[in-house]
Amino acid sequence: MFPARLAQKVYAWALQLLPEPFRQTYAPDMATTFRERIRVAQKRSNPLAAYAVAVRETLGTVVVACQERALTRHRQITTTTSYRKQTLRERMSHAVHETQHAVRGLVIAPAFTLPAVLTLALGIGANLAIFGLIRGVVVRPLPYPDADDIVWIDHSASGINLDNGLGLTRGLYIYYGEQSVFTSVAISEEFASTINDLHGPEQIDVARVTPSTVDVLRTPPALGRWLPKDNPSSSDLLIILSDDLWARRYARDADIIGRTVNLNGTPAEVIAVMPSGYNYPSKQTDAWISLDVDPNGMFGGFNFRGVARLAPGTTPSDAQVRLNQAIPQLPQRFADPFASTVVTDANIRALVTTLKEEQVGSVRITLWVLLGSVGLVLVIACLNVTNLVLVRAETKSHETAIRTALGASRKQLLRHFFLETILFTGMGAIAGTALGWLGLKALVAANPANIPRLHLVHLDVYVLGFGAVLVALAIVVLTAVRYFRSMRTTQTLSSRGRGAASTLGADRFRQTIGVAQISIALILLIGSGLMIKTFRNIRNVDLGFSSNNVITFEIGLSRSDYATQRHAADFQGELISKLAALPGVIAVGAVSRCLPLGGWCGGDPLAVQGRTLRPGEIPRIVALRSASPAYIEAMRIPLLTGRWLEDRDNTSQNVVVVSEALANSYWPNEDPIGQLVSDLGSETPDSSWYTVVGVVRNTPAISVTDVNTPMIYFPTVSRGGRGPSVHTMRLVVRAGVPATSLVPAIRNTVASLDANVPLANVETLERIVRLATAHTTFATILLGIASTLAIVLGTIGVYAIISYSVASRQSEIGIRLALGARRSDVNLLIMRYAGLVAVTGCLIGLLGAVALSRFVEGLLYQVSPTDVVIYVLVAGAMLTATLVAGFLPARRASGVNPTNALRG
Amino acid sequence: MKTQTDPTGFLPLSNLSLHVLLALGPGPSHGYAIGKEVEHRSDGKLNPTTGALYQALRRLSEDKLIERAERANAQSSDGRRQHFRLTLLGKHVVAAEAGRLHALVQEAREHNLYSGSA
Repeated sequence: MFPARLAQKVYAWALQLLPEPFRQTYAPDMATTFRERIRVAQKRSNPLAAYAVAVRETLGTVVVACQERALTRHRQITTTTSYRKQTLRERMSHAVHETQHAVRGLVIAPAFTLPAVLTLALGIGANLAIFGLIRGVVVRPLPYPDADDIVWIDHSASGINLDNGLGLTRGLYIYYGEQSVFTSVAISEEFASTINDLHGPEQIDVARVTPSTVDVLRTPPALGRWLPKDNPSSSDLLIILSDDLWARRYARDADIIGRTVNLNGTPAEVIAVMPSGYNYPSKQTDAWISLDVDPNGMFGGFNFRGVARLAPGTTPSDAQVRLNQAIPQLPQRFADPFASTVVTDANIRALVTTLKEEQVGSVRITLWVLLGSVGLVLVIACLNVTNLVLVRAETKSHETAIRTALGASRKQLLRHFFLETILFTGMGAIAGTALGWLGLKALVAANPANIPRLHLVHLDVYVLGFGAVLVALAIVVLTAVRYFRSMRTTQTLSSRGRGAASTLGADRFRQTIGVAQISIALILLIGSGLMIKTFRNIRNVDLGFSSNNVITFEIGLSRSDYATQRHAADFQGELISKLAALPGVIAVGAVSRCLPLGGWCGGDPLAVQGRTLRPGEIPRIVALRSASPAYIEAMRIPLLTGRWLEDRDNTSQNVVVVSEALANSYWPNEDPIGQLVSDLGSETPDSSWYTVVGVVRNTPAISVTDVNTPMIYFPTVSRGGRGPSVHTMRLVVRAGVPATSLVPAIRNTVASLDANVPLANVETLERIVRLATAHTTFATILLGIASTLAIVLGTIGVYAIISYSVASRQSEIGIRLALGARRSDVNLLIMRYAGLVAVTGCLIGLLGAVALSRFVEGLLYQVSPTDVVIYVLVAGAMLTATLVAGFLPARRASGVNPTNALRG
Repeated sequence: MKTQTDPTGFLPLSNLSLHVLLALGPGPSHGYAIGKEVEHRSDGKLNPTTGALYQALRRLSEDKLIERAERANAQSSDGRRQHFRLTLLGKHVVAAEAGRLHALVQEAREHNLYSGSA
């Protein structure tokens, strides 16, 4: 079958080649004729006839187009006169001609073009990549309607030394819902659960959310219906799946709605699927179930995180003020005595920020600092190019003079310079965009720092617009430099002939450029130095455990299959002994629920026997863990005094082990061993006391730098039943072989004990540590790259400036040598010049660094933003680099042959 | 642009031009029909591509030997295309060319180089 439509398309394309008037007059008829000819050919018996006609017709039209174009051009040339106003076409061809001229000018001067394009490409690429990151992560709104009105509610409690992170209670949720600053309030809590159905068991993150969440976020499910607002508590459990879980587990089967799955042993009906990108309360959330709060119920504990939608015209700070005005009235609203405790003793204060601020606040400083850094790199790059343009203006001053003499107007010259600048800047911009795109792809693929919302990052219109503004600025500045420098040198040329002294003004300008480059590079280097020291400090923090060759995973036991702590602990004991028997395993331990760096994961106030609290004093909150006997062996946590928990502790007596920080804060001058403590937070108050039997090294709970966490370890089954629940535990396997190679054996072992127990969060301890330090690593590496670029570009810039200065002073140097100056004198002369630039640059840079240092303060750890050692070291390095850059041209200068220099 | 009124100034006509003019002898016609007529008249020896045909039409129009015809039936499917017809000048040029060819034929006959009917 002959592809008639395709043939017509190709022919239409050929018709486009015809010159304008011809095409307008005849092309439609020609297309009709072509169609008819094809139709006739198709009726012939030879099946190839239509192909032959199509090819012949198309080629024929191309030939005619060429002939017609040549004719049009010929006529133009013969009929254009300078008196007539130029037609658009003529002006176009004139522009084409001028562009060709500019291209030729750049092509024959690769020594100018290549460095200029490359330098600009590096500068622009780095800026696009970082700006793209900022745009995606920080600027772009959250994917909810009117997302700016969604706020995050949290509390501080000065009574218990808590700056933030307290969260909300059920009572506060009800109370805030009654305030007029919000149209709706929602709270949530997240926990690990096991989902089970035909697809097997899987551990997932489930969020319990109030049905009001849909009013706050205004995002309905993609499929199905949202949680009903007045769900009778007797009815079945309803569950909503995330898009990710739906895709991963159910292959986007729309029939999932209405099906029943098993959640922690309870049947739950799937009622909806949320749209992709719905990341509330966290990116990890796999499913949502209803949290129903009785308006007349208890005030409750601070177990929840809260969001709210602001009433129209209210700002987050308004809301914060209004909530804090309302908090003192809590005891009137709630009969629960805890309500008055949180007001009078804990002294809670509401904290209200936008939800976005809460999500990206932590990386925002890093990203802005990085954008500032690459911005400075771009400035250095542009200064380099400015210098190149200066040199070009001077080397081409002869040509410019001739053009002026031949009648080129200033406007024409300006146009020429403008075109030239557009061309090489444009090339730089294209290369830079490609670099930025690649860089961004690499950054997103690596996600080096666990940056939130990173999947939203790409080069969009705004990022490219930002690039376009940068490029436009560069074009204007560079054209201006070129134009004014050319005007200056041309004037000198006409008045004084080939004056060598004409470069004096340019020299001063060039020195300024050099000074600016050195000072900016120094600022970046100091920033990078501070970050590297921070990085080293963080790396050197004693984490209290050893992370190499350890694999960890989480198991969750459902309460329907393992009703008591004892059942769960027995399962774990069996699993641990089986795992320990695997070849290559050194030690296996378990801890509830979080490993170091895994989060605070629940804490309670602690009572100490023999110590009565002053009225109104709130006991310090400590982190609670249940741990197995081999936990410290598997983690290699040093035991400082006493002993660690043993198997017999599960049955015999109530004992606990505490962390160094806890021991130091409660018993600074006493032996902690033998002290009696009690967990005050558990829901069934109990008078049983626990004996401290050992003290272990601190391990950080949330972040690497949070080293003084008071922590208490219970046996997995303590007699009083007071330890944290052991249904969800993190297991730690220390291996003598590569730890990841054990994963299949571990899976088999778990499955052999209970096929319904899923493994979750399988990862190495090294990765956990790496992710915890990833922010710093990321900032350090990028700032390192920026400062390396800065020092390389800066040094090249200084080298170019001094080289050019030497070259333009050749005859002066020749005269000095001829008059008997020693070569060392000449050397000194040039080095003094370089030294002046270097010292001035460094001084300004040091001042600038001090002024800017407060911006990086938030990124530093145990480093003063004005760390003298770093300032001195970096300034010394910069000075040395600059002097080396000056030394090469100086040697060349002193090697000048006076005769040649004077002749030239 | 040249505007010539002397028919002999266009002579000799190119083969294609002559055939196009001849094809328009019976009356106004459009591009496709002219092409078919040219092919038919030349016994298939002359079969211009569409491009070449319209190039010739463009030249002849510019030289004012043909012009666009008013469309008699603008409603029909044919009516959408441009129709061409001979101008008076065109007719004179065809006549002049025919005369030139005729003279050549006569000359050939006189020298016993041609025996076909006149």
